[in-house]
Parts: sequence; C-alpha cells; structure tokens
Amino acid sequence: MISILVFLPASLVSPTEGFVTVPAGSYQVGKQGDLDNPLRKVKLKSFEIAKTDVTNADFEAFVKATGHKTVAERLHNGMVFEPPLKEFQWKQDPTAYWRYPNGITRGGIESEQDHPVTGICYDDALAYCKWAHVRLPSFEEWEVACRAGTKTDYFFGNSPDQIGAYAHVWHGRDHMTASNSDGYAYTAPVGHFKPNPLGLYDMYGNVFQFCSGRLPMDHADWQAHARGGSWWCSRNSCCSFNSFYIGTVVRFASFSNLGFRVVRG
Amino acid sequence: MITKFSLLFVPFLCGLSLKATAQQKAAPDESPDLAFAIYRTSDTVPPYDLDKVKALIDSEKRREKKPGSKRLGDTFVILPDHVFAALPFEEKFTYVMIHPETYSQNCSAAVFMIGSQERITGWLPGSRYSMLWSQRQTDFLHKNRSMVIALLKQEIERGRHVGLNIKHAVSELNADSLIPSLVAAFQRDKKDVDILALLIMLMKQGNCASFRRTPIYDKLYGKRIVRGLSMPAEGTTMGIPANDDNEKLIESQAMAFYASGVK
Repeated sequence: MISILVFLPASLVSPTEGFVTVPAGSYQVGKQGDLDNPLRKVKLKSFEIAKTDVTNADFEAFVKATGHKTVAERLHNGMVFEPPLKEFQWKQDPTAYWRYPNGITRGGIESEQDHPVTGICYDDALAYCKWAHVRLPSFEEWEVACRAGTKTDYFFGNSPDQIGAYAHVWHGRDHMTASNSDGYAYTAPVGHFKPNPLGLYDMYGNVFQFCSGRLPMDHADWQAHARGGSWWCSRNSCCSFNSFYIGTVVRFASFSNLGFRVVRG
Repeated sequence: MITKFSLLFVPFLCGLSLKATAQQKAAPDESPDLAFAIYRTSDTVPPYDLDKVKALIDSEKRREKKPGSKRLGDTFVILPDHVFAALPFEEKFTYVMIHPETYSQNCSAAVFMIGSQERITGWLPGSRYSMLWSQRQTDFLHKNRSMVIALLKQEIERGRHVGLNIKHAVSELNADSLIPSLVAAFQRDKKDVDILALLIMLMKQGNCASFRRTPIYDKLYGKRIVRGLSMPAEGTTMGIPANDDNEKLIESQAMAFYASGVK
C-alpha cells in the first residue's frame, strides 16, 4: 500500500473532495481600520482552492509516502486543550502530535479520518504541500475565496448570528467547561456544516487554516499566520471567525485547532 | 511621533534570545499606527543578572545545536528543570520576563487597529512574538507574589516605558497594590493607553462596584443581545476614546479603589 502511494501522481492523492476555481480579477479585501488587513483592492490571477481542509486521511497518505516526522513529534511541543482552562490558555503535552492532537490520554484519530488534520505546524503544512504539488493560499487568495463576492464581515452578512450553521465554533460562555453543543467537542468532519456561496466548507470554523504571507508587525521568519476561526473560537473570546482576521502563531507551534487547506495555480 | 517612540523602545530579549533579532525601532517609512503597535508591544528588560541569564539561554541553545539533537537547533529552547530550579530569585524573575517558554494560539482578544493610540480598551494586547509564560513560569510568579510585585514596582517606577511583559505580570498577579505606581507612570507617559487598560482590568478583576456602575465599564464589558445572542457591547478592539474625561475617570476610580483598601 505504501509503495503504491509513493508512486501515485500527486493529483491522484488529492487532499480534498475537489477544488473550486476563483477567476482572475480585482477584488476588495480587508477591513476599515484594521492595521494587519486594511481595506484595499487586490489583483489576483486565477487559482483553484480546495473545498475542504486537508484531512487526517490525506495527511496519513503523505506520512506513509514520505516518512515525514512532524515538528511536534521531534520537539514534543504540541499544544493541547482540555477544560477547564482560562481564556486563551493551552497546555503543552509532549505526547501530542497529529495522530493524538490533544495528547495520547485524550484519544487518537482512528475514527476521525475525515476530520481536518491538526497537531501540525506551519512547516509540516509546507512539507505536505511540496509532496502534493500544491501550496498554501496567500492571505488575499484565502479572503477572496472566503468572501465569495461579499463585502461584509461574514459571507452571510455583518452579524455573526448565523455562524452556527456554517461553522463549528465554541458555543460555551467560556472555556472552563466543555462545549459540544453542535455535536463536536474538538474537530468535526470536514464538510459537515453549510458551505459558503462558492462551495467552500469550514471557512469560519473547525480549524484555522495556514496561509502564506507577512504582516507589518512580523519580524524575522519564525511567525506564521492562519485564518478563518476554529472549534475553540467563541463570540465571547476572540470572535476571529470572520472574513478579515489574520492570526499569528509561531511557525513551529502545533495546536489542535490549526490545520490547512491548499490551492493550485 | 516615530522619533518619540523610538527613544522609548527597549530591547525585547525574548526575541533576541530566540532565533531572530527583534526589530524594535520603527523604520522611517512606518506609519504612526504601526509605530504605536510596536511601541505598545515592546517589553521591559529587567537588569537583574541579565548577562548571566542570557548566557544560560545561549548555552542551552548551543547544547541543542549539537549533532544528533532531536530538537530543531536554533529555534526555541527552555532551561532544563534543574537549571531553572537552581536560579536565585532575581535571576528567575529576569528569565521569566525575557524568555516566555510556550506558544500563544493563533487568535487573541485584541487586534491591532488603526488609531489604537486614541482608544482605551479593556484588554492588553498579546505578545508580538506569539509567546506566553509556561506553567512553571506563572507558578514562579504566584509562589513569589510579594517579592515579584516589589520588583514590578521598581520597574514601573524606573521612569521608562512600562513594558507589555510587566503589564501582563501585574494582571496575572492581580497586583492592585501597584495602582498608584501605574497612575504615576501614565502621568509620565500619557500615550501609554495600555496603562489605563491595565487599571481597568485590575478594577474588573477586583469587582470594583463603583467602576462597574460607570458607562465606561458598560461600554467595554457590557453585553448587548442581538437576536437572542449575547455579544460584547463594543467588541474587544474598539474601546472608548482616550480623552481627558475618560482618562481622569479611570484614574480617579482606580485610586478610589486602591484607597478603599480592597487588597
């Protein structure tokens, strides 16, 4: 099985259920007053973006084909979440990596092959992309695909009141007690919630999606960025499940709410 | 404004002690908004045995770079438990202040907005370097609370910019005994609106009843109901205008809270 995967063309071990084409054009991105992502027009070439995040099954194929060892496996620096924790607090767990995104004691992904891969860092995502002959979306590509022609904070308007229909996010008041009110405590299967108008799933939830790009506050090269919101995000904490927010994380850090989707072109 | 900020920058040795050299000074073409964002996220470097602590971190980095090391080499290192445990108090304090050991997640409560220098929020920004104190580091702060607060007081009263790490330590310890020092620091450096944010946080954490009744509290922390959903009144980033009235109200409320002897 492994040898078969090694010799499969990358297009046949595609990470997703399909891609959507975003045509070349001039697009509005950003938000008025946002220092990281100011309101502006950008010109983009046409590209194809995956409908879903890269799944555990996709990542397993990559690991089997390449023998890739993730940074969390080498550094034992995986970041995990288990209530009760104060807002924005996570724990480091040396046993955590993509097969056990919240540590061995909190279970593995055996029955979650269709969930987005997490417990990987930016450099692991780049390694996957190199193998699969794809790449991460730029900030602008991700946003144009997410907005799907809209100019509001969300592709469904300016109020987040419909977020639960489109995204797996945290509905609890805080993070002191577990929240699985939408059926999932950590990740959910990709494509489980409603897509955006372009047919892209989980743009505002499930896991943050690594993007390529630099922000004005960046320094050196050890920070990475991800967009889109995650199962951890709630309206009472970060509220980052929207079309404009760009997050920052150390590029070697692996969190159980960080994943990625890919683009071609 | 850029020149004024650059005079106040202090090196962030966490960044220096890691892979990269932090770019603290605003480049000539940077906007006042970016310069302010860099200014407000700069840290204080305590002087206590600084060279020794830096040497320890460098030594650990060299050790991690040895061939066969399972780590990534020149990335993030932490002092081994026995080395950390053996550090005298003041060296531990310096280490904790300059070298947070774990990562912050991708999102934070505060984002950098244009015009932030003219707004007072109810939150402190996160570290520019996406790093946080580890459990053993926060344990150190809490277990040595009174001694740590004494050093924080020295740093606040030293007369220079109160670094973001000092502000976070004050908040972590809920050190409302430092309110007079913070008010004095704001009088020296009135563009540091995050000192006001810290005063607000201390009053909130201390359940200051009179402050809870002010319009400021309601604007920063109150909730509004949108179609049945509870939402922060002003969001986490907008804040309130940094005008004389608001500044005076926050200062007077904080000083009254301190005088009430709650702590």
